[in-house]
This record gives sequence, C-alpha cells and structure tokens, in this order.
Amino acid sequence: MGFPREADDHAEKLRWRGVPGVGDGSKDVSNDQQPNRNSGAEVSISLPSITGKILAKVIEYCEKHVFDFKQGGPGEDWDREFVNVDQAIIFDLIRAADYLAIQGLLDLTCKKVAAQMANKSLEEIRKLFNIENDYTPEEEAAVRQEHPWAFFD
Amino acid sequence: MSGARDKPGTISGDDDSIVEVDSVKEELEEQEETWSRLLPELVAEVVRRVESGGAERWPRRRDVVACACVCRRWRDVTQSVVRSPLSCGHITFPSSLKQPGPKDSPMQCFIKRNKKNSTFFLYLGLTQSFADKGKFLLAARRYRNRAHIEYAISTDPEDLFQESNSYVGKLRSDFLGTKYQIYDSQAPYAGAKASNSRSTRRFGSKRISPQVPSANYETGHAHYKFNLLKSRGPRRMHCTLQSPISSSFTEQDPQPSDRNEDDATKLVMNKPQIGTVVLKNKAPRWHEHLQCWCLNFHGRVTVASVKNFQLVSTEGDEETVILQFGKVGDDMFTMDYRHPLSAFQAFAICLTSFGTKLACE
Repeated sequence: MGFPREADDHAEKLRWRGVPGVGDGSKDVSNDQQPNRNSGAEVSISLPSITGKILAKVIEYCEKHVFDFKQGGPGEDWDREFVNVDQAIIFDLIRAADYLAIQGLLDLTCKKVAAQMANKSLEEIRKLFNIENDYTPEEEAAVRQEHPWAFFD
Repeated sequence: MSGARDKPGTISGDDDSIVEVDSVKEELEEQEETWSRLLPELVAEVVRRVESGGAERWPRRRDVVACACVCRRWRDVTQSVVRSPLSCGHITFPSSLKQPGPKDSPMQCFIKRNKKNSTFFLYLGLTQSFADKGKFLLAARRYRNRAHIEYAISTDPEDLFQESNSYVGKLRSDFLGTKYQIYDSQAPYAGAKASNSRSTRRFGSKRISPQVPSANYETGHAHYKFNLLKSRGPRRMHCTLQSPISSSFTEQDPQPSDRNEDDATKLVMNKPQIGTVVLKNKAPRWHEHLQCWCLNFHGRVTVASVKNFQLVSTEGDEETVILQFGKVGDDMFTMDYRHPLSAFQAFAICLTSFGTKLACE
C-alpha cells in the first residue's frame, strides 16, 4: 500500500523503550540496542506501511497495557474509548497489531469490528466498510439464496 | 519529510521526496477497497470473533452468514473458518442442511404442517420448548404429478417450485404411498448421473440461474411395508440413503493450519467418500398394561400417532436413534436427527410419514 514511509513525525518515540510484547514479529528491534540518553544514539525501527499517527496509537496502547500482568489493564472503558475511532484507523491498527504481534491490541480491534457487524445485513456491512460486490454470477446466485434464508423471520 | 538524516535500518523511497499530493490521492482511493483486501488471516480473526461474540446460535448466527456474503475474500475466509454441523453442532449455511449432523446428540427440530396449502415447514429448535419460534430451515409443498405424489423442497418458504433458485430437492412417491425416492438437486459426488431432468419452465421472476444445473439426482429411498397379519400394528419402514462415509479423514473439517499441507494431501482429506446408510424403524414394544405399542421418545413426542417413528441403523448399533419423528400438536411435529443423516434427508424421510395412507394401517 503506497511506498514505505518512516514514522516521520514521531521519530523520537522510536527510541527503544523495552515495551514487552512488541517486537516478537518485528525483525528490526534489537534488545541489545538500548539507547544511551547521553550519547543521543537512536535505534531506528523499520515499520513499512505504518504511519506515524498509527504508531503513536500503538505506543499509547502498549504504554497503557505494559503492566497488565502485574496490576491488570487500564479497564474496559479505556479500551472501548481507545477503539472509538474512524474505520480507517481501526483498519490500520489491526494491521499494525498483526505486524508487531501485539495480541492484546489485535484482539481488541478485531472484537470492535466484529461487534460492528452484529445484527447487520449484507448491504449494511458493505456500506459500513465500503466493500464492493465482486462476485461471479455463480457466487451471486448462491448469495441470493443464502442471505434471505439466514434473515428469514 | 526532508529525509536528510540517514538512519540505519530504515527503508526510504527511491528518492527522498516529500509525499506528493498525487500519492495521497492514490492512497485515499486504495482505502476505499481496503477492507475487502484485508489479509485473509486478519479477516479470519474478525470472523472468529463474530462467531464467539454471540453468533454461535440462531438468530444471531445470521451475522456469520452476512460475513460470508460480503465479497469473495470474506466469503472464502468465512467458509474456511466455520465448521460443519458434524464438527461443531451448528447449522450455519444452507449447505449445512445437506451435511451430516452431529454424532453425540441429535439436532432438535420441528415441522409445522399447513393442511390447507399442503405445505410443510422445517425449523431448528432454539430452545427446549415446543413453543419457540425456531430458525427456518426448509419448506416443502406437496403436489400431484401425474400418477405420483411429489414434495418439492426449498430453502425459500415462499417459492416452492423446482424452477426456483432455492429448490434443493424433492420426494416422489408411488400411487400407494409405500415407496418413495429422494432426489437431490445437486450431484452427491463428481460424475454422478442425473435421474431425470428438472423442469426449467420460467416461472415468475425467480428463474433458475443459467449456471445452476437443472437435474435431480436420486440419493435415497424409503419403503413402507404391509402389515398383513396385524392391521393395527406399527408400520415398518426401511430407508436407504447415500451419505458421506465417516472416517478419520472426512470427519474433521480442514482447519486453517491445514493450509500448509500439500495439495495432494488436502484433496484426499476433503473429498467426501459416499457410502450407503440403511435404516429401519425401531420396533415398538407392546405395553401389556396400556394395551398399546410404545416407543420411548424421551419427551419429544407427546401425541400418539401412527406417524410417529424412530429409525436406527441396520448394521452395528441398533440402539442409537438416528431419526425420530413424532406429533406434539395438531399440525406440529418434532424431528430429531443425527449423523449420518443431514437435515435435508431427515426432512424428506419425515415427509414420507405424512404421505402413507393405503394398506399400512
């Protein structure tokens, strides 16, 4: 999707902070390269397809959840508010969470999307997610049988 | 932005150019299709949570069907995530109606009869009570076709004709109502021969899609036997059906992790082996005290009727009831079925019980 960009605006935040759970899938994070504040050395993490804006959200999530195992998370209200954002942002968050292997964030964002689909018809889902019908005629015929059957009251 | 800093480990574009307006526009256009292009594994993550977030049972289960209808990718993923009735005990798609039910415990359904229109409606029970609304599964319409009585079976309760896109099969009986053939609108296996051609008359606006093959494939039959000696005795039934053979391969649905297996292995695992299932009705016992024939319906049948029956296998286990059918109200009947029968087969067999009139009572 487009060309890879640096997380430009938020370059400073890329300094390694030792957030647990981040980096299992990301090849470029190195445990050894702890930044030395005095020297000003920085560790750059390559995150293709993740914008600075999204990365900031991811970091926000990680910072809030970093001590989940010790003192529990920030609570459902915080989580709910955290994913109370545009569809496009949720989409990017899902992909970022998957790329960075942050299970908690992946779970939260996918649950949000799943909840949005509750009790919606096919047309409503397509509209909400801006998805076009790309079926072949055979597939279309099957859908035209399935959908009314499922929703028959 | 200016891209002047050379950081180790970063990937920069071909030139260190600032993001152009054009590529922003391109990106916005791409975003319009993004959800349909979400990676299959991530679509699967969402669909799994749709299922576990309350859509395990009907009526909410329709959310899963909606996911499968959105677009091609979502359809492929949803169909691979959702397990068959045999594996998970749930009916999800119309195609589930032709798949064997679970082994451990029966699927509890009920049939409503409309005498005036000669129509029958099969529902999945949602609760233990007989009064629940149920989830509509199949409908059938009884009609005369020359010397035969036939029942057209459909997933559309308002369109019960063979020409319909929703037609799934039919039942045909002889004049006496003692011999029945069950026909499936789809070939049970690759290379199956069609029994006869289906009517392709245009009817209203619901013409069969040209891609849908218009034929009927015989997949089973049911016979009722005379009771020569005891005119009041219970009817004897004998059913033969084609069904996927249960084996260690075909029992399991292919799971996403199976994707790593090579194609040859997958073909063996996924190909249904068709075998023959032979069922007979469980003989009722004569209850000396009550002076009647009795079967134990475990509370699922409450009105005595000659139509009530239980079917068991003729090979091996003759105790487990594969199909149970019985009256609970004037026009209300329960139908409980399990592996190796499918809902479609079970419904067709139960319909035969309505048809039998002569020579068996």
